[in-house]
Amino acid sequence: MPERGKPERTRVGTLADFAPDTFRIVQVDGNSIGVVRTRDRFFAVLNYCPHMGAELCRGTVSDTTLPTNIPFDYRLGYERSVVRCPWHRWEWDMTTGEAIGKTTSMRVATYHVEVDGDDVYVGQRRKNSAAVREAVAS
Amino acid sequence: MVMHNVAEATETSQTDRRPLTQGLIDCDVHPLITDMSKVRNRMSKRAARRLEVLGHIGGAAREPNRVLHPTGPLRLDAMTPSGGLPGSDPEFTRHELLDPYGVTAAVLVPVQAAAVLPWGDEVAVGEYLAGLNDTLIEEWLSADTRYKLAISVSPHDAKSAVREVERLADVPGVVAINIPLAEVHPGRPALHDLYAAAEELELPVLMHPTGGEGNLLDAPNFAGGLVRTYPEHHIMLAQSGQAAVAGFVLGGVFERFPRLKLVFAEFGFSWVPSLMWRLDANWERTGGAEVTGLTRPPSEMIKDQVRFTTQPLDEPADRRQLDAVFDAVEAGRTLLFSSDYPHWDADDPLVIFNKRLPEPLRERIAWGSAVETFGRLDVDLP
Repeated sequence: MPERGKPERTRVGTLADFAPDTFRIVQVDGNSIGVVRTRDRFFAVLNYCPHMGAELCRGTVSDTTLPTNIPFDYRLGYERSVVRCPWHRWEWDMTTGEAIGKTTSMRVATYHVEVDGDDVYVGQRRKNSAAVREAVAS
Repeated sequence: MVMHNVAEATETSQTDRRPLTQGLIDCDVHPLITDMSKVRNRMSKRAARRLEVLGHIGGAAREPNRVLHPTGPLRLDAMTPSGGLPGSDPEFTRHELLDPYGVTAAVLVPVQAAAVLPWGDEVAVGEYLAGLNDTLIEEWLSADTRYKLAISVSPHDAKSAVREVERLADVPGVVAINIPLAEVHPGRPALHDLYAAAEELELPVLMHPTGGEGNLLDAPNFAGGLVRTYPEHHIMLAQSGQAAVAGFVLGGVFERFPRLKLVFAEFGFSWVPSLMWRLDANWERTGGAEVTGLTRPPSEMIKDQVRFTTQPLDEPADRRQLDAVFDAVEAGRTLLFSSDYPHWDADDPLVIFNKRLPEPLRERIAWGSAVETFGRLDVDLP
């Protein structure tokens, strides 16, 4: 049972196990979850693209162009926080689970990641992605 | 604190992803020859020199390719374990596609054939395509009997194409003829000898977008002018499919060759109902047989003799809207399943059959119509 007051979490490796921008796929409670360390953050997302069921974390971690209504207006954003599906290139914001540009209401499930000393843990599934985004922004 | 056991996932997706069908014939799978010396070594020195000059993919474009895919046209998870390009290894394709999805047969459609579209040297075209065919027979058909091949022939020279068809028709596993669509009317009599051979030998003629549309010399141009972006190119492929189907119908190909089967792979199919309606209307209003030489409605010819592959299955927000299309094209007769593995816009058989296609159509689209279309498929199915 989880200790009182502490979220349930699963150790998924040490810091040294995580090469930059490279997903490490772990099984947690029967779910395949991709954990990735970017330049300054960790993300964990369900290894399943809501569009057509691809193993999402066999895709890439990257920036991407910011949504715009101006044709050919290419400006990069989302610093290392985007996972791009290996199949149809759907892009998901790993901080919120939302589709870049909100092109669909579907979401990728995201999880809390905690670093405790040298150890990396995947915690509970994030519930309120919008709130998470605000917290990250602040 | 609860500590869970963490297991590394296996390197690839070997979970069972078989759809709820009794068989599965994938009518559009792409092999890729990355070591072109295997093809070059089968060619004469003179022709091989042409290949060197022209390049093997998209050589001699009218300008640098303006419609490159922004993130690459191949599935990112289909790189082989040794770093090979997607589609370059028959073993890996078996591991990623045939086995997990329970594929009964996979029709290989070599897009590298399209390189010949802008070539002016027709002897080199014939030698290159023969080399490509022989390499694929040797490397892919021998790797697994579930692999079947659409052999590639010249769109420029019907005599050369017929010779190649006759040379390979009886090779086990050869099931179709792939013609890279050129900037020509496919109904023109110049190609009729090829259609006659195809009909006689029970090999359907298969067409597939080449990637050269609107870009490569001697590939079909799109109405409306040169496209500027990859999405425009991808969307407009339906346009070249429509033009080709109309060309076959109005060129009298189905009148002349009533047992010929055509397969349009990856052009989409949601445009087919409106094309059939317009063809029928024009046929009726302009005097039917008297004017065009057609003795039956174009829609009947299309339903009898043309087959369309499912990928990329259109994705309307309200999926029920597709039902009207399935109904109008008589999908149980005219649609063949295709995944397009390992290209970026591949469809997943599990999702397509279990979630997107109406249940009563599943078996027909999964394998029933394919068995009827590819007379030389030689598969064991109920």
